[in-house]
Amino acid sequence: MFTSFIRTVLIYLLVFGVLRLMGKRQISDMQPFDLVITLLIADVASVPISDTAIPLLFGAVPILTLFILHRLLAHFSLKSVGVRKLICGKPVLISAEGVVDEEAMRAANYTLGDLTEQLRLKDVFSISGAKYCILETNGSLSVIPADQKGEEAPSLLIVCDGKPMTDALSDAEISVGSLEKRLRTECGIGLSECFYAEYLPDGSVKLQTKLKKSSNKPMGHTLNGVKK
Amino acid sequence: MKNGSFKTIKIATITALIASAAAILLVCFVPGILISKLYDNCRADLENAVTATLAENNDEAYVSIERICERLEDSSELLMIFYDHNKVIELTGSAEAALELAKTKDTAQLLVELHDIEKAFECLIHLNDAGLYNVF
Repeated sequence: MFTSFIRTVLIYLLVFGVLRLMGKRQISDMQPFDLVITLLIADVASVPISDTAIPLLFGAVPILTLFILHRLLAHFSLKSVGVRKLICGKPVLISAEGVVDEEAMRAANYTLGDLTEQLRLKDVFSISGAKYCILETNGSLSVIPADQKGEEAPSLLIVCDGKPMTDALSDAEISVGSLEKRLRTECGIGLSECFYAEYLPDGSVKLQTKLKKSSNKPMGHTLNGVKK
Repeated sequence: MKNGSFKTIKIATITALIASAAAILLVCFVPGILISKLYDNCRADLENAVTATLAENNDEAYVSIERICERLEDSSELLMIFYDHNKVIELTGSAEAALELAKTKDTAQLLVELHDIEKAFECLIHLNDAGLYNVF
């Protein structure tokens, strides 16, 4: 029994360290690949704890392998929008201006029952009571209630880590060329130097420059009346 | 949170990644090397024991099997770090049974046990192969 005790302590320390190094989202908002890895770690960790005839390494090696895989996937999804879309998927607009998108719901395997349940959890008690519903990549639903003042529509992320988001740009009816031109003339930066830019419902674009080695402070800018 | 804290986490993650990769590489190769080396050391004695048993020279077979048992006893604890304890116990158990059979001069059963030792060694060696039969 003492062996089990020592093994449990060792596996606990290993799993705790690995989860800590995997980042905070492992504990709260999980993407599909985070969830898979967390479930696998939990399962693999229990094997050498319950069976003392199995070497501790049979649990430790898969946990460390999953940790390496997770970090690699997280790294590549951070660097590439394509990889991020492939691994995490992309948010789905379930309802806009109070109109539910049937096709989007079908594609996301999301039923009206799921929708009303999630709306109730957000204190919205009718489908028409929600102006915008966005099904996030982690499965949660973001809601802008119809009676909310200030937020007319969700903002669109049109530049992410120096790369233009073509889908969002076309939704905002902004061409890459015109955005790049405005960035150069008004902010003195290229598209690749822009950390993020979001198109707001009032037609303006808020952006932040990337950190440079020479200056440690990112710059914020606002472009007004950005259209094609 | 200050940027220094993020740097510390980044350094800790990179260090952990390198350490994990090194540990996995080590664990991938060490067990295979260990068991192959042990088998190489025991093979001559195993063959000698079989030849001696077939020639009904049980005393010589006993001496060879005793050497195998000693080697297995020395290595069994190390093997148990990397292999399923039951498989290691199976190997050492077969060797100990063979030793007893050599003492009692039960030739037929002794040959079976010697064959079991060889098979147990082969089983442990093949566990390290990255072949399709092991992967799937």
